[in-house]
Amino acid sequence: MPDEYSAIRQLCERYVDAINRRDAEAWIETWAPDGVWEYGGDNPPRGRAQLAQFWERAMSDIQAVVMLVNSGVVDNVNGDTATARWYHTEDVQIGEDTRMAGVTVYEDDLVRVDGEWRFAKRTHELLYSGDDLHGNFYPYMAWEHHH
Amino acid sequence: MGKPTVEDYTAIRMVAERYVDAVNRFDAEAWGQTWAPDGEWNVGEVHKGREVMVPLWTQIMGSIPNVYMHVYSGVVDDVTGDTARGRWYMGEFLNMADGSRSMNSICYVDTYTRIDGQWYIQTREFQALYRGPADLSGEFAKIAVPV
Repeated sequence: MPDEYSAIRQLCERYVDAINRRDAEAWIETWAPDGVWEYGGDNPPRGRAQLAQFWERAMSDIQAVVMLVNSGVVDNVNGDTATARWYHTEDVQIGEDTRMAGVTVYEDDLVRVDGEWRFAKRTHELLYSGDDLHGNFYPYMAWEHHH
Repeated sequence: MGKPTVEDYTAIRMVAERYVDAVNRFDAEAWGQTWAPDGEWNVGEVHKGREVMVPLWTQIMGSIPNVYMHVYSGVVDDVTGDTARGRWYMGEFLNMADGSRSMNSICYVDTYTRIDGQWYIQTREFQALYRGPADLSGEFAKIAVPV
């Protein structure tokens, strides 16, 4: 289990690194070929071609972003599949005037393709959003709904 | 006294991250599972045994509308057979019942026991390093690590 945890943590850290560097190719590499990003809106992108289109749209509004992996748990490693959840902080500048500090939790389905872990599905939930971290955090609702 | 293997470090880090995940999800069972059955939680006074600690934790968590806790950094040392020592630096954002909010930086000074191949927290001593506004304008405390 420590081996899988470390490998999956590396994938998650590559994911945020790709976002921080605005490296579309590196970000798309973290996904399984048919990976789906359940970002919370309609028509979630499925597969690397749609993910690439989604990235272009999403990143065009974002002036700057610093996303960091905080903590995480890898559950249920079963052969070449696993589930995990990872907590992040996300500081984002949208346009010129809007700055937001967020805390998110991503719930993941992972698949090992040719020996490398990739995201088969990511869903995320906002645990916090505000100008800074002084305000109230939101309860982790998905946990109640999904389990 | 032995240097931890990468696997020991990772396995114990996983326990630290499972602990904060259980806090974020208000999951008493998962929290209890991070402890050895006869674990000791020192929060000013010592509470011993899962059957004592879990109800106490549930009571404490019942008074907190919300919390987000995460792992910053940690050290594992002195792995001897199935015991180890370590300490983990963590952040806590708390929404209290009276409407107040605080940000804490804490250190847990721990010992661990390996039971059936799995590491558990044997003793955990709470040390506050910072409690105050999220802008760090409050007073810091010095860590006192028992030698």
